[in-house]
Amino acid sequence: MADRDAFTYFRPLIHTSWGSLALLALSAAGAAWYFFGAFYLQFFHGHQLTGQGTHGAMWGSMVANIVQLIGVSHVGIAISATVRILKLRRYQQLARVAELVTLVSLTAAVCNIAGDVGRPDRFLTNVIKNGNYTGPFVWSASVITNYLVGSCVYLYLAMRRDIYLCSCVLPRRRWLYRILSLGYTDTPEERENHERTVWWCAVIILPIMVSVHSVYGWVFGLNSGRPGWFNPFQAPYFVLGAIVTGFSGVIVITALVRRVYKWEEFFPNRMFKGLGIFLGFVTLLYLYFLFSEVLTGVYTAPEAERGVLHDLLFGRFATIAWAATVGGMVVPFFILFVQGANPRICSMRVVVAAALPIFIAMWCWRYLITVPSFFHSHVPYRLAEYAPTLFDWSLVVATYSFGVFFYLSLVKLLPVLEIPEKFKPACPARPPRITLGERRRWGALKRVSIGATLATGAGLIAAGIASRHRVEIPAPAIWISGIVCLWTIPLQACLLPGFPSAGRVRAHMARMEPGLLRAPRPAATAVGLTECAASPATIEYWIDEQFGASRGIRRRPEIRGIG
Amino acid sequence: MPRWGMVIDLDRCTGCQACSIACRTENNVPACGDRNAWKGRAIFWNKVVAVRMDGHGETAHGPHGAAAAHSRPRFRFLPMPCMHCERPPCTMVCPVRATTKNVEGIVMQVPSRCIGCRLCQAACPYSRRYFNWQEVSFPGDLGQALNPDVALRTLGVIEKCTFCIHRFQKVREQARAEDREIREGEYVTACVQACPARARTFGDLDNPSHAVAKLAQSPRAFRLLHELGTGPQVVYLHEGSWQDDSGLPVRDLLSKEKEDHG
Amino acid sequence: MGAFVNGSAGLCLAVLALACSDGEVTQPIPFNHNIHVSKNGLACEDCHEQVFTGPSAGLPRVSVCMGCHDSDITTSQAAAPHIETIRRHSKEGTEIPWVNLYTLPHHVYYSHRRHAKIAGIACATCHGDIGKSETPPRLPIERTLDMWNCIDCHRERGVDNDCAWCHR
Repeated sequence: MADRDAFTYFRPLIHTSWGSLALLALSAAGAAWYFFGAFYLQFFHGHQLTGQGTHGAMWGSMVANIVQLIGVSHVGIAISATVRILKLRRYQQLARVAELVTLVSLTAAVCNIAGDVGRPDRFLTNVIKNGNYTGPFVWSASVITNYLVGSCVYLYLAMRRDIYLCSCVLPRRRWLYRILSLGYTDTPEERENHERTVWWCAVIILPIMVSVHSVYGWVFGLNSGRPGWFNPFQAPYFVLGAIVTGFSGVIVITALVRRVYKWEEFFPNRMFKGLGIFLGFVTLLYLYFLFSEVLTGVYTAPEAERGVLHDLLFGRFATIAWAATVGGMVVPFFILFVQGANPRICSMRVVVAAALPIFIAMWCWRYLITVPSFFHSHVPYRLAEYAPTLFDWSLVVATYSFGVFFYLSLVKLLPVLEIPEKFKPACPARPPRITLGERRRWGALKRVSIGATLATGAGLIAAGIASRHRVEIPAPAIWISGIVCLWTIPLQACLLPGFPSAGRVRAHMARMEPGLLRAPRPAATAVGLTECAASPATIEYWIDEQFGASRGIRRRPEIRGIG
Repeated sequence: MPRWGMVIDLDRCTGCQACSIACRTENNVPACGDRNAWKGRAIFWNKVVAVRMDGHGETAHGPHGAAAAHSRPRFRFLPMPCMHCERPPCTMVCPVRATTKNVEGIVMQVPSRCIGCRLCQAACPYSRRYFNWQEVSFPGDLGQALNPDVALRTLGVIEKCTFCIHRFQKVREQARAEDREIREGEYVTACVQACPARARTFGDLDNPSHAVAKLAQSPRAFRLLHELGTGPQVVYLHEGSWQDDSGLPVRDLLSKEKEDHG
Repeated sequence: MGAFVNGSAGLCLAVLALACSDGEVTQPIPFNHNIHVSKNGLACEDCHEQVFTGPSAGLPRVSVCMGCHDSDITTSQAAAPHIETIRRHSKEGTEIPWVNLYTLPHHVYYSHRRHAKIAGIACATCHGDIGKSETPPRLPIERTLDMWNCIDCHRERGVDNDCAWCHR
């Protein structure tokens, strides 16, 4: 690999500017304030530090922030998975930037959830030990665990080759990347294996992504007693909101990353133009949903619903609502439409200028979904006004600070760009010397292991669901452990040495040397070849390349034609 | 199996709030301080809500007629304990089963398991659940008057009316020891006991001999937010329609929005 | 399964509690259950008078001790100073300051009457061979005092496990 290329791809890992360090320190301080404020001050002095109240707003800016962060987390993996499945080569480099956004925002969201509950010390343990399957909180715990573990597995497997390349290229941190790459050797078989596994992970993760934000929609939508919330629409509405939030967030972050690390060639303006078109489309869709909601609320709605919508449009929430909708969504939509329709406009800055207001507007709409309903209770209480306190705002800002810190740390530690296959290291790691026989045994073991994991995982999930009524059995813990168990399957598929099946060998050989399979051949495995029309040299070369350095291979006497 | 319920006669209620005070004393409900009360954090397991009956309601036909309706605002008092619904939305959403529906109809709250997520508080259409936003404090001599039968809650958990479950536990045990059913009047909640106007009655809604069961069948009886299908076990008695003539539900007290709309 | 998870958590806590405690609790009198129960045939309820009538079994009042020890019922030299202590308390009108081994958490309602009298469960079922101990016991019962122990026992006997029966 040419040095200049290495530097480009690994720029954040090689060079850290003073500005980066300062940002890291500042964001670490912000993150520290979050943990101190949420888990010390709030824990010992109570949530009275926020602006919420029982006869007021029971949920406030923190819940809005949680929903926003969960929304952002969606799209990371959605972009990455879609790009992979639809083979959108132009957007390939966006994948990992987005995946890291998912990881960071999901972690921040979970920290926020833990900080919002009254007793974070009991939060996880009680939900695990005594989980109630009818509670949306338990559904959220299940789907978030599913999504988080799945995202981590997906991210790791997609990144494994690049981590291995880091171990070759960066001598000072070789030890770290060696450990992280877990013995990856850049053989074509492994690359293909990883590609296949990651493709299947992408296919599985997309519906999971939909489930996560639907649950948050249901947290609100299933409350019959809260006008403005009770709505079957909430699940798809929230999923759409998540896509809008996520895309706008990823656009902004990608622009920053491109700017800081000078990666214009990987994130060209055309990419932003395309993202902008899609963001414009989903924003329009969101405005359509919003319009439908408003129309329903003002037409002949029951008194309480009408009260909520009136409050939103003309009452105490009017300023935020109109500013967010018009300034934060309609105007940016037009900007994105124009930049998309006009072939002469191809600018990252235009798209970012539209995406940032959309992101902020979505936060405002999360707030406007959460708070107004509390002020239109069915029972005529006297309610205290709600405004987030300085403490509330500080926690919101500190959460994003934590996000910045975490993201920056990940960018400094892990390869953000996908290094193309054509680049191979100058001194590749040698594959381990194991015999073909051992390989076959490992292969059999791997198949058994994956099968057993599948059975265990499915069994745990079934057992958990079956025992959901029994209060003494922690059913949610059981089905969540089943889900985690199932997510080790892609890891096993890629990490354990395997042995390709006959069909796969033939398919690979056909791809490599199309002429090889022209003549009809009897069924053969790579080692039990009986008769071949192809030249021994070719097959031998392929076996060597697949199964390691020829020095280590003990030739089985059954391979005839090879001497 | 008894089904414990309450009947509150709004035509007898004077709004004296003895029930609220009795409940707070009986159940060790903490004070929240001035600033927190202003933010809507005061805890009242039983809350007396003052509702202004608008001019189109009963006052329009009263002795002073419609002209005086607006100059002499009339109030009705709506004492609200937990409704102990038959189909409680709160027990559905609790992630840790800190709140459950008992076989005898009481919706129980166990603060020692509660994680304080406030989903139940958001789910309750009557907003009868209280979160401890602040440290638990009993200023002055209130700390000397705690009831040893009721556990103190910590900050960060939800508490609510339990139909004085501690009284129920003792009475039930006594009845079991004597191998008999619980007699009417043996198990009464503090609020029912304290009401000077005898506006509140408590007992077994399924036992036809209990006064509660008879009163619940009264033509004056209605249940709050009946249309939501929660099946509250607290029945209100009120002569005439609870809604005013316009058919709209009871209006917010001094709501600015209502003044704008007339 | 839940019992295992909770029981093991409770066991760890109990072990920790024991490890952190001072060790032996020192009672004002080194009471020997064995002499009273096995040798002299006293029943639990003869001294723990409230076991069939109240939530707590109660610790013996000094008048209960004086009921026998008013006269010289024992000739043991080792016991003599302790008998003196009992008689002194009785004369002064004060109770013997027994140290409570365990206080139930505030949010739990447990009634001895309910279990010992109404359900008819023998004292030894939970308290074990406490009647045979020769020194004051360190623990009231030999198992972990954990909610899941109560739940398991209830389930074995077909008793309802509703939260409302025990929590307040």
